[in-house]
Amino acid sequence: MTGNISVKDIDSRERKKDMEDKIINIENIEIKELDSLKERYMDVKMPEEQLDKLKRAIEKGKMDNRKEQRKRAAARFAANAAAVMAVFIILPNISPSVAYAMGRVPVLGNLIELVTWRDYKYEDERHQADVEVGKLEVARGETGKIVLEDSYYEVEEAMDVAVEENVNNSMEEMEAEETFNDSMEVKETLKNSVDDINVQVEEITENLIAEFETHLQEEMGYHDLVVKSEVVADNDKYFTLKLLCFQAAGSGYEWNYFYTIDMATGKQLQLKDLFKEGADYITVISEEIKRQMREQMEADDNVCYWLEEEMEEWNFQSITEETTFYLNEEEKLVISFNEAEVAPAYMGVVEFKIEEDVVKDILKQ
Amino acid sequence: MQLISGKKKKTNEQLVEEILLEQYEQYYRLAYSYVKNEADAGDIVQNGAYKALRSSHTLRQQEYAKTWIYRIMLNEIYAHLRQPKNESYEFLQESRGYEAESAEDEYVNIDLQRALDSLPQQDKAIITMKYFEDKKLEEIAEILDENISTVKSRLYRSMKKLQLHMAE
Repeated sequence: MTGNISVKDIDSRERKKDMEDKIINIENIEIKELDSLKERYMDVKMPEEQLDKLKRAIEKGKMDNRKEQRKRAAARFAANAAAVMAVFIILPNISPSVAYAMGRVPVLGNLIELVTWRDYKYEDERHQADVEVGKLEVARGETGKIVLEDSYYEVEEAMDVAVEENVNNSMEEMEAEETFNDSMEVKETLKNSVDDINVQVEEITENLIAEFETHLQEEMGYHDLVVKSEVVADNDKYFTLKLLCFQAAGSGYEWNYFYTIDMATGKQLQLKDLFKEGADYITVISEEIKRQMREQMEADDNVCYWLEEEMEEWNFQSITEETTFYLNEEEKLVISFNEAEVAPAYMGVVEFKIEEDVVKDILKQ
Repeated sequence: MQLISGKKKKTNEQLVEEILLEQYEQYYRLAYSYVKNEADAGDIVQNGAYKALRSSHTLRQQEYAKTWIYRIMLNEIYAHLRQPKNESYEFLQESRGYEAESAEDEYVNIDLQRALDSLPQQDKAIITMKYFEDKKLEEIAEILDENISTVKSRLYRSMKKLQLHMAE
């Protein structure tokens, strides 16, 4: 046995030496005749018709990518919409007490409604557009959508009661009037916020449609457009509207806008409004995002974020004051990044839920 | 309107398309050197291009895009060679034409060409990349997903074989 091992050792040592020799000698081997073969090799040129076929194969590849992306985006949107519908429809059907609660307590759309405003569909061989964007409206008493407008009625009722009992109790009257004035002020602010959002959404949508229509004139290329609006959260505290945009010219790109209104003030919420004055929320959230990125990448090989790439300027460093965020139905903070912002495009739009524990020390109470 | 806040970056798809349109001659002559006819060489490059585009989203690091596409093309060639040969009329005509043409060319050594063609596919690819395309060993290793010393020893072995053949 020992003899065997030593023979093997010698053998492998020799092989190693042999290999080293080869490495040194490789440049010494010269076959002059190879040069003429090279010349002939390099003379081969792709014929025009094959090049045309190649270009068509490239177009086909891009088109199929685009089809797949469109399917994915549509599936994502449908999933979200279905989740919202489930709250509306299934709950009242299965649970009388929930139905009762929904009738009484304004759970959804209590003050703000989303009414369809822009509906634009187009389809031909190379172009497809699907635009369905809503306009926000602050509910009015006389529209008769009682369930949606409970809280507004309550304010009016309070006023009525106060007027009736005017003579009897001036203290009650004053309180009621104060509540009324406050809520009128909030409502006024709310209307302004809603108007602002409508203007922005309208501008984005119209620009995208206009851009799409210019592509219709072009003789080449494929173009797709999807714009959809969706209410992500609507509760006593926050109202959040999401505007989903998907644009494809060859390759597709998906991005979102979120508009969040603080229902207590009627103002549009900015990220910094959630935190105590002067708190360094940017670092806290950025570090949390990096932690989640690492965790996800370790757990799943298919997940990739630009975090420790060689090209440093692409790596995610930090969020900014303007980073897209929203508050989901559970009132949790979600940071959203558009496609190719912090991860390769195949990852799509990526979102990070920030748990309350992470920010509890700096959250505004 | 800002679509991508701050950093603008080519998508993988754009990059792959760009490289394909820049380097297609390279893939074509490589394919041609194996299949020796225009139609098949064209098919190989077209299939490879389609596959590269369709899987471009899986490319993790853009700096490897070129070698990645080259590897796809090589695999496409190997896959084509594995298929049962269809000795169509066109195929026979073209390959015969190729031989005839080379016979007229006094500078081309047919024996060496035959010796090169008879090498294992991968070894022929290594010689082609090294001596015809002037690729660095590092790049060849990257394309073949092998380490450099493996590539070196295979190159050495193949060159020895060709040399022996020439000495005969």
